[in-house]
Amino acid sequence: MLGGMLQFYFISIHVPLVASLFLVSLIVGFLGYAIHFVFVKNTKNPTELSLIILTIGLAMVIRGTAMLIFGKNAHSVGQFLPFESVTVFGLTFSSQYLVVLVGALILAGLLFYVLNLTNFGKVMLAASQNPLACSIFGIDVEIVKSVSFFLSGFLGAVGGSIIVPISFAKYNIGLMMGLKGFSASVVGGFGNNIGAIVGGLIIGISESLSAGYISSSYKDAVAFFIMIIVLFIKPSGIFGSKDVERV
Amino acid sequence: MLKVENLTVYYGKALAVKDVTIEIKKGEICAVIGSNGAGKTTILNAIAGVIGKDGKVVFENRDITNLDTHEIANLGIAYLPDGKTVFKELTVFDNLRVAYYKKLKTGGEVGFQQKLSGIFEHFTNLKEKIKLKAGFLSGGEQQMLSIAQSLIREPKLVILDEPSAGLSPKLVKDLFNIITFMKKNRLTVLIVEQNVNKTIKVADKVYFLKNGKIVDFGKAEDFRDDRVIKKAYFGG
Repeated sequence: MLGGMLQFYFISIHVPLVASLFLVSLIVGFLGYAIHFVFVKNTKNPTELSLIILTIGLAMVIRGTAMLIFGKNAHSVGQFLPFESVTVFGLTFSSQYLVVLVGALILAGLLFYVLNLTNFGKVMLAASQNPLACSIFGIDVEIVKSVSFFLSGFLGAVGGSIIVPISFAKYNIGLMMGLKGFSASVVGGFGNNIGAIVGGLIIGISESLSAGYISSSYKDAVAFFIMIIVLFIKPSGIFGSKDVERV
Repeated sequence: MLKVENLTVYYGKALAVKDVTIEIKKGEICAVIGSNGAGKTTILNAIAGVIGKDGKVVFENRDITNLDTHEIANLGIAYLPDGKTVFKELTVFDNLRVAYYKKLKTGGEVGFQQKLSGIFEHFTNLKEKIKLKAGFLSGGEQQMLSIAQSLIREPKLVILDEPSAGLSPKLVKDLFNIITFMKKNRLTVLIVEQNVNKTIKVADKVYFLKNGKIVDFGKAEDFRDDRVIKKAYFGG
């Protein structure tokens, strides 16, 4: 949401598109960093549940603040490309969908590179699994967490910025997208980047098909319906592996 | 090398350890023995900065009492807590690389590869399973990987909390061979271990802990009498 709203703001004051994208991602990235530094890091005796509740609360505060600043109305943001639509194999769609597709692939590739091919990425994965062990190896886990929060804000902002020409910028757009993103992760396999993309495609295509063949009223329910089915059949998701632990 | 003075730890209002004083010289192997609940692990956690404490901990003439765990680790203290330090979703190779991460800046890739070769001389099992996720290793292999992670960091002091717990007799033998190797290489070791007989055989100094207090200490050979061990574990 914040990425989209800031993108709307910068475009409205005539900041060039690329500079705006850059600014938005940095601002939201640093906001993520600040949230960790001020709130998460200083939570006394944190548990996963208390941190989830804390971050949901902060999301509400940010949404409320955005509503006060930008109002309740939806704002339109122009498409990124100079042409309106693209035709591929006889299928015509808005050029912004192409931007979203390419953007998603670039971000997924970037994330894959950072997490799997860099030493710091390995440390991030390690810290998520066993933070105490990381500290014991001399790694400052709080720095790792701060970077994770920055990355989270950065990626969310880029995602928000490139989606608003399609969805319009409004103070509450992020909630449903976040929930559907969560469903996509569950369907694809939690913690698996490729799985999240495939899960997103499955949910997106299913939504469109259901809107066309059944009714657009049920469109939003499809994501959660698919998630529930996957949880019944394969709780670890399509690309997820069962946690095998030898003792 | 390590001085622990008047260490006192409370869990809430419950006293876990009171006025514990331990001193370890460079190259010594020091064992802390005592029955379950005596406070052995608490002492190690306090030294490694995992839990809060009163008292003073000095390492190489530097007061480390109020340092964070990672700062203490970066001074050259390798702590192997009970419960292993492996990252189950990472491969054996990546587990060792993450353990060496802070040294990569100084040692570089060449240093890491050299250390890796040295580690695999003693942990041949791990070499064969280098590309396997650590979660797929057996409990014993995971314990060996944890020890390898500690050693690859070239520590000055190794703190081991019940390293033989849950290991097969063959792996226990391998483990004590590694501890003997540490001793030969003048590595300083602080060990808490249920396998008292074997521990006392390799140790230089022993502290006997009871109800959170040191009730006896001295040279390891003075403790190599079954009666002392029985007293430690069964009272009397």
